[in-house]
Amino acid sequence: MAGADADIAFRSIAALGEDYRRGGLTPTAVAEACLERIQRHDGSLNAIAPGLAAEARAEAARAEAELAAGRDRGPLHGIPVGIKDLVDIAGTVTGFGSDPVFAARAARDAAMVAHLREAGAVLIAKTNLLEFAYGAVNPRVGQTNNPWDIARTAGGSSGGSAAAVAAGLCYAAVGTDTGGSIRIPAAYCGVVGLKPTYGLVPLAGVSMLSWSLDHAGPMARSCADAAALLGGLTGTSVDASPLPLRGLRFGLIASLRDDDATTPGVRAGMDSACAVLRDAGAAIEEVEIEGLAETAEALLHVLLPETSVILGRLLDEHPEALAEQTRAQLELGFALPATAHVRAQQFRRFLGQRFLAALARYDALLSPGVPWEAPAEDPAIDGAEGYGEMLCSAPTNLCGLPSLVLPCGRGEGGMPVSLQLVGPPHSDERLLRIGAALEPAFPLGPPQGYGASLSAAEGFG
Amino acid sequence: MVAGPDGHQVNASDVQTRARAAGLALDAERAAVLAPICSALAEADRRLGALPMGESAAAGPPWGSAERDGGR
Repeated sequence: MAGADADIAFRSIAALGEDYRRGGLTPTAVAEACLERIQRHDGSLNAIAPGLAAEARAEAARAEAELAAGRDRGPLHGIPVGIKDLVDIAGTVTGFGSDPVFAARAARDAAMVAHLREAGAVLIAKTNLLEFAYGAVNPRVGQTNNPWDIARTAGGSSGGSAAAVAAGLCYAAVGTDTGGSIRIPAAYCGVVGLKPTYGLVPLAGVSMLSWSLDHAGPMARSCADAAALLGGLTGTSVDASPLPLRGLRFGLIASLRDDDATTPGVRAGMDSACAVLRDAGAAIEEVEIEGLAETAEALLHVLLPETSVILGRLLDEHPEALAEQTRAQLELGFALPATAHVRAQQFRRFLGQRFLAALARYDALLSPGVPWEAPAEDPAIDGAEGYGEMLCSAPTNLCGLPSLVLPCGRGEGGMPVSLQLVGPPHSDERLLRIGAALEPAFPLGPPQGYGASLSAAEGFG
Repeated sequence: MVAGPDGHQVNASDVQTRARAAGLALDAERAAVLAPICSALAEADRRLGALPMGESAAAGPPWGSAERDGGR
């Protein structure tokens, strides 16, 4: 990795913005550097869906001209951002991480894309995902590999966004999260991922899985960068100045830290994070949340029927083009009783009230982001490993509570491990500020597990 | 295979019947693949039913409301 190239690629959004306004760098030069890095590295990562380079160059030129003319759109102006390839961008093909037979050219921008354009962001690339964000790799797209070790998955379903951010292919990226699809890949790739409060980021123009579980949010290399993107996605300003930790109270969800699935390395990372918080003057107590053990399966009782209503047409159109696991899940949604769906919906409110009761006593709740380091492949969502992977993330999809994942060291395998902070509804900014105070204790630096690939240019641009 | 809420396993025929009622025709082979997962999910539903959920609502904000969903 060339020093100057890496220096630019891993710069913070705020630093890049200062460079733009001082004249040290330009949006066109930075966008070109990102496109060159994509060409050089994506052959080994498979994080990027083809087809956005020409538009990105034009957007960068427009951003540059506006800045030169004195029109300043704020923190995201001229910043290259990745967009998960299930979010519509007018005039471009949305691929959904699936077989090209399902691809569709978008007639209009998704609402969040319109917000990003207003904020001046450069949509540098669309990022790969698990098929329709539903847990399985479509063989026509392939797995996105982890920049820390390309023999492992980047996670899903927003693996392309996580890998692209971690590898310095863009400065932040949009993910979506229905059972952990922002937070799981963020944890595996050692980046920050925020699943915001339910409803905070608009989903019009985003391919849906579940009306009641879907969220969209930012993935970035720091909480400040995630805040900048969250502001762009919502058309607001989000403050990520570090919150003083002294006097804050945290509830540690002991059953998640101590679950059989949680590896010693993840537990050690949690312990380190707790030590940092205590040293800074925060108080930590252990808490339990009634019903947590049932959340992964409850989530499936909500998710499977909703998704089969939304995407069941795929079974009529081209079932042979779907990954076998996707097809089976779509079929499964037709075979579950309505009473189980309603009971799971009831459980969400029951669980939510238990979370809110705990959050009345604490500033945030703590758990691992994922109980283990990145595996070789993504597990099926309807098996024991899938339940384990969603162990810490699924509860707050059910309850709609904001949840921030950030790195807290490395595990036994040398891969990133992560901490999750959960807050009450609409505490997104406060979680980012707590994260900003905590993250300097766990600097991972750029990953070193990927390299140049001669096949990188294939299909790109 | 895990038993369903009424003590019976969900078998391939059950899966076919349920899917057909919801508008999807499944052949016996595919239904057989799904039956064990349906049984496991039925067992999970039984465990949810055993929780003291009282009058918690099945609609409303996902985090519930203090008045209807158990109070804080």
